[in-house]
Amino acid sequence: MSARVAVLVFPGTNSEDETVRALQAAGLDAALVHWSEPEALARFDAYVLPGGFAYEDRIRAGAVAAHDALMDPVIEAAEAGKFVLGICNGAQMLAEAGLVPGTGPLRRPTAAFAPNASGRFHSVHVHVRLAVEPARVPILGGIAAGTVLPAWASHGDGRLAAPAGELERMARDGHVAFVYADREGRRVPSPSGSALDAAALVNRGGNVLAIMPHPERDAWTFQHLDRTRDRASMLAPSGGATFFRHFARALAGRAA
Amino acid sequence: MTAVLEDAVALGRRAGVALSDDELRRIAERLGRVPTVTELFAFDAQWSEHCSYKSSREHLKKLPTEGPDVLLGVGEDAGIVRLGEWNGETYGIVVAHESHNHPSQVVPFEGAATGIGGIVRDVLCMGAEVIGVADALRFGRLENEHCRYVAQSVVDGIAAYGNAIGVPNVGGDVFVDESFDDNVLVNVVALGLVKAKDVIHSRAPRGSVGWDIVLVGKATDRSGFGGASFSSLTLDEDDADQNKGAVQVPDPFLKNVIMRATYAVFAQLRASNVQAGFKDLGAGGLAGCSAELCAAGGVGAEVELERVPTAQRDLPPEVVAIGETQERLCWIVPPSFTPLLLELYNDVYSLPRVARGACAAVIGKVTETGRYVARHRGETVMDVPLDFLTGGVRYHRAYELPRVAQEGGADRERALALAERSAPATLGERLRAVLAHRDVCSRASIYRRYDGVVRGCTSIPPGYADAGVLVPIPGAPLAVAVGIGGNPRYGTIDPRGAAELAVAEAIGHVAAVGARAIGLTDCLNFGDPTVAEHMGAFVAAVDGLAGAARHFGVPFVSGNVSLYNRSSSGRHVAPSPIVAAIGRIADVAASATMAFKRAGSPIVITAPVQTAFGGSVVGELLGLASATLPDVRVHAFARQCELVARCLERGAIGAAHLVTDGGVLAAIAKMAFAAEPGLGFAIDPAPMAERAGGELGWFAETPAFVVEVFDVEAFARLGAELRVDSYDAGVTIPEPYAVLGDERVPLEELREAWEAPLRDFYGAVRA
Amino acid sequence: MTTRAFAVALTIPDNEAFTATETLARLGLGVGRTARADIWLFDVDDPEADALRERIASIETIFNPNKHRLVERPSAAPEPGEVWIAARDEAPATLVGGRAIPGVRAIRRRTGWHLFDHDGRDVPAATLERAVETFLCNPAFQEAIR
Repeated sequence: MSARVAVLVFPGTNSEDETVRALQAAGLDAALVHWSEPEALARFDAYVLPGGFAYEDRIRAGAVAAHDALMDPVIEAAEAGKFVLGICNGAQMLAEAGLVPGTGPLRRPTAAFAPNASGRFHSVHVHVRLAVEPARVPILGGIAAGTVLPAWASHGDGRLAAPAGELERMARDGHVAFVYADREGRRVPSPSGSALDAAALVNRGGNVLAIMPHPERDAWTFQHLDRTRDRASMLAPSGGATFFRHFARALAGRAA
Repeated sequence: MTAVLEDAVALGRRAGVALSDDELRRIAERLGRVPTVTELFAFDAQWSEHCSYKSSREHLKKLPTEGPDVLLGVGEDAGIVRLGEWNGETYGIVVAHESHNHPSQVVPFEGAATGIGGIVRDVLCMGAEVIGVADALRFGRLENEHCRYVAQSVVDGIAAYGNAIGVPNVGGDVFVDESFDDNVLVNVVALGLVKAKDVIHSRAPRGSVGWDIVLVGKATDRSGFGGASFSSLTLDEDDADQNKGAVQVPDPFLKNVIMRATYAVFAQLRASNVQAGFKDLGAGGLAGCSAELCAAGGVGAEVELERVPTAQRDLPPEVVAIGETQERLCWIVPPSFTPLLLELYNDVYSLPRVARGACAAVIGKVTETGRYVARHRGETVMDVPLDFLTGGVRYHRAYELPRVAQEGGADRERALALAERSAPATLGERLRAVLAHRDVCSRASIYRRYDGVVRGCTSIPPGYADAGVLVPIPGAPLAVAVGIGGNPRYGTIDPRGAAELAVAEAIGHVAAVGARAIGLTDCLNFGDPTVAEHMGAFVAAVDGLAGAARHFGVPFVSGNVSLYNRSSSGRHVAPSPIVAAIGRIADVAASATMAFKRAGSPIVITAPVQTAFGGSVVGELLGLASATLPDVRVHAFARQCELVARCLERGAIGAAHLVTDGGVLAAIAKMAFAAEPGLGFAIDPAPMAERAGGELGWFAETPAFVVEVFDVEAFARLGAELRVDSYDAGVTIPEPYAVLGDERVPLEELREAWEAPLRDFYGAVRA
Repeated sequence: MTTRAFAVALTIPDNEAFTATETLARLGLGVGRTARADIWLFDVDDPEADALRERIASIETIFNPNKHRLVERPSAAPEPGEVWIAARDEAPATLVGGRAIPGVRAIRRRTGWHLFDHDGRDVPAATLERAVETFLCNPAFQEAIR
């Protein structure tokens, strides 16, 4: 039986459908859970917070959602060791909720995905590379060291920011799970000016992962824009689909 | 009765409406009395140029609107073309095209944002899922501080709105011309996906007498009062503040939720097999929308204005009825369905929590009287015959067709030779100058502000090819492309020729990604219709669109007219017929980006270059004043479009790019810029040098394609089948250079020339 | 040189302030109403200081008369009941919308939050503190100025 994954929808969320499709392509039983039905969240094995502009990013990106009733079961699940994945706006929510890097109290953020250095939203194709040992990220079961994935960085608030001491700690303790890279995996400066060129953060337990770029937007062959666009398999999952396959493997490993 | 007529005129003047004295008299005569203030503003909106098309309708009839792929033609808020069949269902692509020019000039961020907001509603209200938007922008000179501010804010507004609602921006274009210095053009296109059987019409359904009229969305406020007539007046500096008040306030966050709630309503309607009428509120506000819904259905309406949710207390009835508060839609549903409708919007999707005062509310009923009756606190404030209100007026405007100078071939060649001699340059130097031109240079700074991939259906986002490509049905290989055409440098010279070229360009753009055009939309942006010269430009352009579309065999399914794009100083915009083409690709595997894919591929042009440099980039750079636009040889060009599609299907070519601004060599350079690092090109200048115009031929803007050939033999065979003669231009090479005969230019140098001009579109980081 | 402070607030409904009130109420903080303002601090040469208000009022990226109210603050500090949130490590700008203002050497931006209880009075300092700690300020990249 496939693991059940909830994809949360807040008012203003906009990437929920393609996130569900990417999870389903990886063999997961993914379903949307709407802000009007927080009670429905209890029955799931894992949680995904998708991209968008929940609550219009009022006050700060992800800030209002982090306090929303819909987040309570997610926080509980994260504390209990369940897998929680946040993509873009979802990553911002996890940072605001204090779930990543998870080095401080709940809802007292120690790191943030702050406004881009340019002060503007941008949408550009990127690659990200796994920057920690695979064992550090059990949420991506079976992922190989140095894995490079394609994704789209489409956000206005993608710059990892934290006090210097906290950044040092995060780097030292392996909280920066992915960095921006070129296709060959060489680290590159992030488009947003992110500290440590960080593209994703993971918590201590490795069960909560917050990634700013969207792997689900380059997860099917027809979405590829380079030589990996193979005419014979245009409607097949590929590229960023790897990310979700490892997430599914992690869940399968749990169920076993 | 004369007293009544003159009282009506006096009332109209006091109220400051845009209706003419004659129109006011006509209204009073039909009503048999002086209209109420509410009725006055209702007619002001409905009879405005924007709503009634009173100056343009007689000419628009010339446009071909029928075709085998048209599921729904002109007449409703959007048109629908057939995408194809999948899983036993016929799918349509809904398309709408509108302008939001005046608001974007006056309050650029809000004006452009609400332009996107409105066009998305036009598609939504047909029962469709909104799948993409595109924008055609015409800015004033960017060296001018105010023009730059307007341009930045327009792009910001479009980005803010489209990104927040989560609809990808998949195409568009940007042109800069001094005629837009005081009158920016912001044209927007929206696309939707709908099953043919699920289309919802913008009219009260048959048998709907007694049904509920339900208003959904933002609480009505004062903003936007005066919008429709505002867009039909020229912009005058002194009215700046009043003009600003007429601009609507966008709320993409609320719209995001309304869209999702509406999709849930669609699902319920379909599950319960219930018919409904659905229309979005735009120009003319609540009265305009509900009146049009009922007029189209041949019924009447009774509306209780105090049932309209308002954000401010004690709004006068005319503001409630005619104001253009954004983010509102209007349903006509059977009373048995109403409770579910209200529940979905108000409870499940909690509109009141999302935005204060937002909700769905029953505001009236459908009647059989054929009249529009609105009451406010017991008093009847509107009681007019619907067909008279919405039927509008028609004018025949006097016009003078533009006179386009005819130049003989010999004269042209002489002028060309003179121009070339006066500014001698190597091919590389000229190419660098052309690539840096305002209408050729890279627009990456602009389209990177737009999310082109949200929803996960984008196969080719902006910047990677001539047209955006979407794969809208998960699991199905069917793809849709949208391309835009419309060049102001051509419009200034010859509106009719420019219109033909706009049609060719739009169709060519979708062809370049392997699509076959199945429908067109247009937005006609012109000056003052009461000035014979401007009206003549409009008429000539419509003739050009009609002729080209007819010969291409692609119908217009939707469109818009924007007149009075003129400031009080007298400056009017370049005649700007802007066309969007919707193309269908049976299998997305057959589409390709414009980037060169490998080294050693022959580079070929699909038509002989014409020595027509009127309106061309290189002509402008050389100070060449020619009035001869390139000729659209429609049938030959149509065969080239088909050739590109077939070649992409069979893998005979790897990339295609339409020749436009900057000509063939600029097109080749851009295909190289898009390619993987390490790839360049080499051309043999000699054959072109032998033709009239010499090396300048490399920059002639002839409708044609540059293609990268993969399979020489297959390409030759397909070319012969379609009677397309191609011309060798060069070959792709495995080094990052542009080899132009004896000249060897590093590609990086050319790329820098191309990227630099708009790199700082936003200037320094904003405070 | 002197520092002049201006507050730009919405005259149309402020959804952000409304949401802030709701969230703070959910956090149990006894906030009845929130007023939000965009705070602009200008370090300006003395001779140009008096002309500043008019110049700012004509810059559309700062002030739009159809939806904003522009008020000069008596000092470059929050009023009682108000806190200013600033980006940490902010590099002051010199331009607004790509434009320079005569005499202006530096421009700094803050968000001003003024909290009121259910009786319309300024909230106590302790409440303001709690609001800052729990919601209004993200110490990872922001700081609060009281």
